Amino acid sequence: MNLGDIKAAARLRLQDTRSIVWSDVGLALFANDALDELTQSEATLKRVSFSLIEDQRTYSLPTNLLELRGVKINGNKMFGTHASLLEELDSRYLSTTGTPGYYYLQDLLTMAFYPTPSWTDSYTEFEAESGMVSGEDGVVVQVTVDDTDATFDSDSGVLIDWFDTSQATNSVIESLDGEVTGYSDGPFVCQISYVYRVPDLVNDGDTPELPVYMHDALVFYTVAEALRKEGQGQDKKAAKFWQSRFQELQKEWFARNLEWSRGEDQFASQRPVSWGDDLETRMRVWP
Amino acid sequence: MTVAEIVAEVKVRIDQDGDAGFFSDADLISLTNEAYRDITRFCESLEKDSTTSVGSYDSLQSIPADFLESRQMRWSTNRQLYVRSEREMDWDINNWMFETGTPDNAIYFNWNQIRLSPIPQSAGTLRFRYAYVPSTDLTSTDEPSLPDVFASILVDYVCAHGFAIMKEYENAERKWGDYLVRRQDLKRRSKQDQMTPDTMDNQRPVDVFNYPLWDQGYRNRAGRR
Repeated sequence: MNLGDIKAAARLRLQDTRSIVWSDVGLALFANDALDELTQSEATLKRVSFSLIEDQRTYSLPTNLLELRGVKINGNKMFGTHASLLEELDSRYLSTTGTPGYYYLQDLLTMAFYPTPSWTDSYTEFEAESGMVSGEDGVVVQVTVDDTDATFDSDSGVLIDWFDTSQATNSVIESLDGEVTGYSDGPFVCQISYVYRVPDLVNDGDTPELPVYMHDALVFYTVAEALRKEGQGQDKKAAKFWQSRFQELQKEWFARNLEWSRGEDQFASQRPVSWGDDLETRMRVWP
Repeated sequence: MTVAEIVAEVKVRIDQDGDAGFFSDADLISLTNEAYRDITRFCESLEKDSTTSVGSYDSLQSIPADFLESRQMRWSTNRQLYVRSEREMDWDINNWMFETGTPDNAIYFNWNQIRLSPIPQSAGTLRFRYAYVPSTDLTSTDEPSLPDVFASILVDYVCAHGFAIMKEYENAERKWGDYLVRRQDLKRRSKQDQMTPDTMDNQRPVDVFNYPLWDQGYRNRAGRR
């Protein structure tokens, strides 16, 4: 069902097929309101990736972001925190560099990492606690890198993890002589998943980003809003009927979303929640 | 009962003589399809199978457009896939999104995608049994996939909406009440008779899950509550 179909179905219910009482623009507006009501939930997730820049702490978030759901760097889960906690943990948190372990929101559209990302650019360069560098003291004697895999052999050490650039995990190689630490695999790639605001329906051919069976809900909401609007076509009793139809579908949709994903809201504790005002949030997200 | 028969019965019930009244046949067919979607969505009464060939290292799959809720998922011959959430995966395995092997888990993403984990190292087949809502409309000669005794539920729905459109609110509310009672009855029966287990049954978060909505089928079962 596209926007044209939604408007036509709404007009059938409003008995205004010739656009005498309600304009097309008005109905499209109501349909988009309905889309907003239905889509700011766990079931409208997007995932995007971006490369981190060395020594850059903050990064812009997509403008269609509503809530962050998960942050990973090179496949590893990052933990959400916030600035005041980091300040207690490390007074130099704004300038500490290393492999990021935490992320926090700087503002609604900016996220930051702690420590500020930094890495070793080459596969063959790494740090060792006791100075064991390739070719020196014979700890790591061979590093082979191809498109997908890097293999490390060690003379006297024990390889405890293997490294695959497609996984891009950090590797630690222990040896009798020392421990290679802080090995990084080049630029970090950050992957975030987030609840997004779906694009508005603009043209008659646009289809809502919802399953087909939920498209009827857009019709019900559009009719309810049109009938509620003050003016010639106002009919509050009818509006109530259509609104209840919409609400039933909305509740079911949110219930299904929770069942599907149940993604943890990592910022739940950061919301200024007073008693009762989180009810709407609890209905649509897993706390 | 075909759609044409449903439309004819609706016309009698809303006192519309032939095509000259309030609604055209196309209007009533459109309302009948809406009713059919509502019934199948609420009662989860329709199920079907889907088989998708999955290439190696191809972990993200689209869910069929008419998908409502999963029943069973199998990988290749008969390996059961467990439906899990990203949260659970994150908890168990740090970099699960990059693990390769033979898939054990299926994880929903958005409303239209599913991710296999571990990422399949070799090509295989994803067999998927799911409850669905028809995504194509019935025409006047089609017959809704409902037991005969329940086909007239669609008449109640269309009448209720027809009366509401005609601003006959008392009639609309009466018919709507009839519809809700019979829809609940159908849901109860379809749940009782549902032989394929709901794979999510024991994974639901009971504390915030909307049981009053979901459990309507059980609520009125004799001897329970």
